[in-house]
Amino acid sequence: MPADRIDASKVEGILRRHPRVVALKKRRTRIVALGPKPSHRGEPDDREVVAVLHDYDAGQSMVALVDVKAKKVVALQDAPAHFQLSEDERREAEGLAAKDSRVRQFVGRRSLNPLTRLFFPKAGHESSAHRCAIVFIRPSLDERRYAIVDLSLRRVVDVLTRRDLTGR
Amino acid sequence: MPSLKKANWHVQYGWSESSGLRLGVCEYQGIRVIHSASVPFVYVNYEGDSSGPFTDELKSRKSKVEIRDIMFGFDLKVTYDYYGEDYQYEHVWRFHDDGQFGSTIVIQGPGEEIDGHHTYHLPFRYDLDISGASGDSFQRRRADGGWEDVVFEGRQLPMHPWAPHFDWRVIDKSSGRSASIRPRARDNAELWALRYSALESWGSWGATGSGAPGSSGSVPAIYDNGQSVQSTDIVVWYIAHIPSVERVTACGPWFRLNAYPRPDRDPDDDGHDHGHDH
Repeated sequence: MPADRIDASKVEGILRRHPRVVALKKRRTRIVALGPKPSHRGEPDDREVVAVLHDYDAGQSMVALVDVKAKKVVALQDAPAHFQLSEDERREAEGLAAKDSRVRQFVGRRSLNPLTRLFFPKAGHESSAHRCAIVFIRPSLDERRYAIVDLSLRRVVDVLTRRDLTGR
Repeated sequence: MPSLKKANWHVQYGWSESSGLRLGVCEYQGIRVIHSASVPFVYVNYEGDSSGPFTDELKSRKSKVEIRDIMFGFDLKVTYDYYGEDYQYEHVWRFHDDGQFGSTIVIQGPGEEIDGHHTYHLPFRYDLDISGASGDSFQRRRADGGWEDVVFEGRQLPMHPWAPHFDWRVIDKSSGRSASIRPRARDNAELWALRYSALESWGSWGATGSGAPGSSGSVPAIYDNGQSVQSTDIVVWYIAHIPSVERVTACGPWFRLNAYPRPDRDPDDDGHDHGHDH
C-alpha cells in the first residue's frame, strides 16, 4: 500500500480499539510514525501498515501492525528503539521554543528559522527518560541557540549556547 | 517504486520520508541481489557528550533523483539539503556493469563547531538476498585468505582497518553466489550480521537508540538475539564512525558479486586494463 494512500485516522481508529491501547485511554498518546509495512519475501504486503504509538506518560513507544482491510491489529509490541519525530511533534517543539522567553530575547524581531531533530538528553538529566526534541534557533547564518524541548512535559527544559552543545 | 534497467542491473529505488533515497529489489543479470537497502539516519554527538546527541534524517528540499551515467555503470544521486547551512549530505548509490556496487554518503557538515570535536555515525542497512529465499550464510575472511562461517549474529570488525579488503561475505552455498563486503579505510567501520526480523525491518524507517549506533543497547545491537546467521535471511548493518576533523568526508561500504553470470562484453574489451582513461 503506497504511503500516500494510508488513511491515518482509519488506522488510528483500529489501533485505539485494541485492548492494550484502550487501557492507555487516560494517558497522552500519539501516533508518531505510520507507513506501509516493509515488504518481505513471500508475504502479502498490500493491506498492512505499521503504526508507532508513543505513550508520553510512560516514555515508551509501541509498534503495531494493522490490517486495514480486516480492521484489526495483527501485532502490537513495545518498540525497542526510538522513532524519529513526527511532523506534529516537530511543530509542537518549535511552537514551544518560539514562546520561550530566552529564545524570544535571543531572536528579537528576527525569524526563528528552526531546525528540529530527535534529541537524547544525557543520563541524569530530568528529561533523559522522555521523548525530546532539539530545536536549533537560527536567526542568522551563524548565530545559534538550541532549545531542548521535553515533549512529555510539553516545555522547554534547556536553552543551550553553542558552547553548551559542543563543549567548546 | 520506480525502477531502472542499466548496466546489467535492474534497480528499484525510491524516496522514503525518513530514509532518504533507498533501494528496493535489485537484480544483477536477472538474479536477485538486494531485497532493500537504506541509510536510516545519521547520529551526531559532540565530544564529551556535553549535552546529548541528536539524529539527522536524510531529507531533501528537492524530490529529483539524479541518474548519472558513468564509465562501466551508473549512479543514483541525491543531495540532502534539508538542514541548510548547518549540515548537508550527498548520497550516491553506484552500480557497475561487472556486479560491483556500493553506497556512499559525503558528509559536508560543517556542524555546530569547526575544530573537529564531533562525530558522525552512519548506519547503512542492507537486506541482501543472494539465494532469493532464506538460504544465505554470513562468512568472514580468515587470516590465510580463506573463508569461515560466522555462526551467530553480532558485530564484526575489519581485519586490517587501515588497509581494508573484502573481509566479509554473504553467500548462497547451494549456488556458490556471494556478495563480498569491503569496508572503507578511515570509516572506523563495524559490521553487524543479523537474521531478518519484522521488528528490525520496521526500524529501517529511522528508529534509533539513545547511544551511538553499534553501542550496546542501541541499533543494531538491540536486534541481536544470538540467532544463527547460517542458511537464513541475512541483514547487514555497516556502521561508519566519522570524526568531523576529517572534513568533507565520504563513507560507506563497497560490494562485489562473485559467481554471478558474466556479462556479455564488448568484443574489443578483453576485461584487462590497457591504459584506458579510468
